[in-house]
Amino acid sequence: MSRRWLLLLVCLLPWGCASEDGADSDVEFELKEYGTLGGDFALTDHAGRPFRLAQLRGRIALLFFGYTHCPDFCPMTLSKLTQVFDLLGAGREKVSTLFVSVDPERDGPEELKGHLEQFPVNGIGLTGSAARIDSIARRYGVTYAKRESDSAAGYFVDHSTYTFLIDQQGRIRYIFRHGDAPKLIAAGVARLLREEE
Amino acid sequence: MRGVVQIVIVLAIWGCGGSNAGDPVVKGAWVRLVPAAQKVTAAYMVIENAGAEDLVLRSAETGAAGVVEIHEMVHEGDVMKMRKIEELTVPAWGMVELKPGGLHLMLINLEKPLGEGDGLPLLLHFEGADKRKMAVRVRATVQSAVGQLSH
Repeated sequence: MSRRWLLLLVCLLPWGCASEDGADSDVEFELKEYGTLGGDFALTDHAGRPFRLAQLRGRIALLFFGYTHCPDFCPMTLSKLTQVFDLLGAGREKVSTLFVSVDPERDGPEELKGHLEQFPVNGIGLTGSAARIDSIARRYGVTYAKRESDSAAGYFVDHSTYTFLIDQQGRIRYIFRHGDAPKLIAAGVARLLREEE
Repeated sequence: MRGVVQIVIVLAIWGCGGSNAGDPVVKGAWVRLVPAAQKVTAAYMVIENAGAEDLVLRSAETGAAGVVEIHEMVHEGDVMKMRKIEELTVPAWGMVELKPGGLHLMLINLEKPLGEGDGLPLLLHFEGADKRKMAVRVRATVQSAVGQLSH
């Protein structure tokens, strides 16, 4: 048996497994490198415990920035990630969703906990001081701005809509955009799961 | 004879008050289920206008929340911005869809926690040509949007 045949077999094996999990569109998914963008950070989680990105090592994370006073877009992202988790099948056990608040003034651990618990996405809500969140957003290339309004809801927070795919070593490997379908996101995660094997 | 005239008048008014062309028709109204701790949510619906004049949604109210506002989400250069708008025009012979990622009614200061499947009463105030005022009662169903594909 030639080496070429063996290589082909090795390539086909994980592909077959991924198909069974339903995330069968991952054949073409290409991971990327983003240099110094992103990196480790420390915040407080929705249970009030200290959290570091580095403690997830070995797991995959889908990270996005939002705020709980946003009744439209932020739950939409969580609904989409719920579909991604459905598509992942058993692989979902190795994936966490990180929701970093861009509104630390109103989002304490309690608010984040309530906001996330409706969605079965292994969600971790994260908050901290404004200065710390500023610095994390900058390192991830995310912009956000508090905007005063005459709304009875108080101010709004305009924010970037990226979802970061973070690999088992804590590095950004893809940046999903607002319009990207659950299938594409699931394909990215499945690709990282496959690298593990 | 007088009685007959009255009946005719009553019937004529009643006819106008029904869903004749020119009045807004609201369909598929739903409210996003939010956790008890959250005091804001969004309502979505389709508003149809089968008449020849533009209709303007001026305001809305509900007994379930202190304030209702019309909001619009605008996605610009990968940044999502929420804006409060003062009114919403439903064009003649047209419709406007309030849906996630676009327009919604924001319900602020919810009076009590929402339950899935609850019917939430909304009263929408429209204005037509010549300041003709119309109020439309809507029952919006509280729905969990978990796993729902929004667009």
